[in-house]
Amino acid sequence: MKISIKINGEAKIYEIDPRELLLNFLRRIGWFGVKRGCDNGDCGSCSVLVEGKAVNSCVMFAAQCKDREVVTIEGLGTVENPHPLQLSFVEHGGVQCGFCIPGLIISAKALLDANPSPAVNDIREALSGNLCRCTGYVKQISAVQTAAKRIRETQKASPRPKVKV
Amino acid sequence: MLKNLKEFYYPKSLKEAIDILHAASPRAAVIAGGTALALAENRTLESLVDISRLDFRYIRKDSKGLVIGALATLQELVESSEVSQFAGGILSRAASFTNARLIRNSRTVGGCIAHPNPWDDIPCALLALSAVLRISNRSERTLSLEDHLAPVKKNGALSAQDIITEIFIPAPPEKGGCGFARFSKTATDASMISVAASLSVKDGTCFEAHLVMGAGLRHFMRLTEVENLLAGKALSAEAMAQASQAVKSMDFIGDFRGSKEYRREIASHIVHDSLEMAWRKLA
Repeated sequence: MKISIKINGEAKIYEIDPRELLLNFLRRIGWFGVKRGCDNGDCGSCSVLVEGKAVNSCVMFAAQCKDREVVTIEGLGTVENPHPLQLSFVEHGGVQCGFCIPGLIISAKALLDANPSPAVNDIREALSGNLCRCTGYVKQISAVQTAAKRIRETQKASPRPKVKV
Repeated sequence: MLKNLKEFYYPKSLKEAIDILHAASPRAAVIAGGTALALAENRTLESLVDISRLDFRYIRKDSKGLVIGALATLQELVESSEVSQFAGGILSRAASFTNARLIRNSRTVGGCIAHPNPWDDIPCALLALSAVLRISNRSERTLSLEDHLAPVKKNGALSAQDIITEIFIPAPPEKGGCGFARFSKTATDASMISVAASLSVKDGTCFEAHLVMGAGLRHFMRLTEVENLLAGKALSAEAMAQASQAVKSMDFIGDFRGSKEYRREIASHIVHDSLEMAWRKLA
């Protein structure tokens, strides 16, 4: 079947198998930032934003995203121009093996879009679906706090209408 | 995997969705959040009817109680101020314990009811509050959640062409309190025991108690023995502790999360916790 999906800002018509899960579809067309972890909805490595909400792409059919907007980690920033969250994760040492990080950053992005000044508990709660076996979460939480602060400061310095990624 | 899945439908109206279900039955099913179906093993299903774009996604309070559109996600339940102010907030509390946020953003309340897991906390809290389902087919009807989840299906049970559109929760009695407690290995793990309680009080004594246990038993169950022990009694810490002991004789399940014996041991504490929470809300 053919459906239209907007992925990382670009709307296109894709040929998909109705049985195809969103995770498999995204990786098939080259978005390898979406990681396959547990394949079971438990670990959060495959998190993407669908219509701005962070969801597990492994427990969702690609067909459910017809005419919807999907954002993967690749849609947030590049090596040259990283998103404040990506930058602060590196600075704080929130990344070790790195496998869970795309998912963690996607969850953090959804949080900061909805709540620009989250309390520590809000951050913990928002990242609760993303398992990380290396860092122990502490540095990632401070990374999100730093990124939140930076985003708030930039928005204060140059207020402009909120642009969706 | 849905090995034989060939078609996805995107109906524009409820009527269209039901027409498709009737035409394609029994090889069609409804999909909303998708968390129950994406990993399901089923060779019968050939088409899915995606109702997620229909308009029954709302939460509102009226004079009679709380009305939740079946397409509201569990996370919307957690975040809604209407839900957290209703019945001592036990629904948003139970929702916040159900899965992690990544799943709650997809999973809908209707899906939680149509594909009930005995370890989910939401149906447990809804049962204690006597929730009623509004179901659409060629005509509309209502079905109590208790009947829907009963181990033996009665007339009017959910069929493959039915769509749950709304969940109505009657406002609990004014002089009452509600509580919800659960036990799990980690904050995001499924419950080993969950208990929801709704108490109403008249002249200082417990007029009616309504308790439901989930997760630890084969299916959701009213704790009638505890209810009977409390009814007509003056509520005190002692009375509640005593009543909680009544669950020890129940037939618990054992699995990789915890043995039968372990569940039996913690169950009375969780019953007590939920009663205490309800009691605190009274005072």
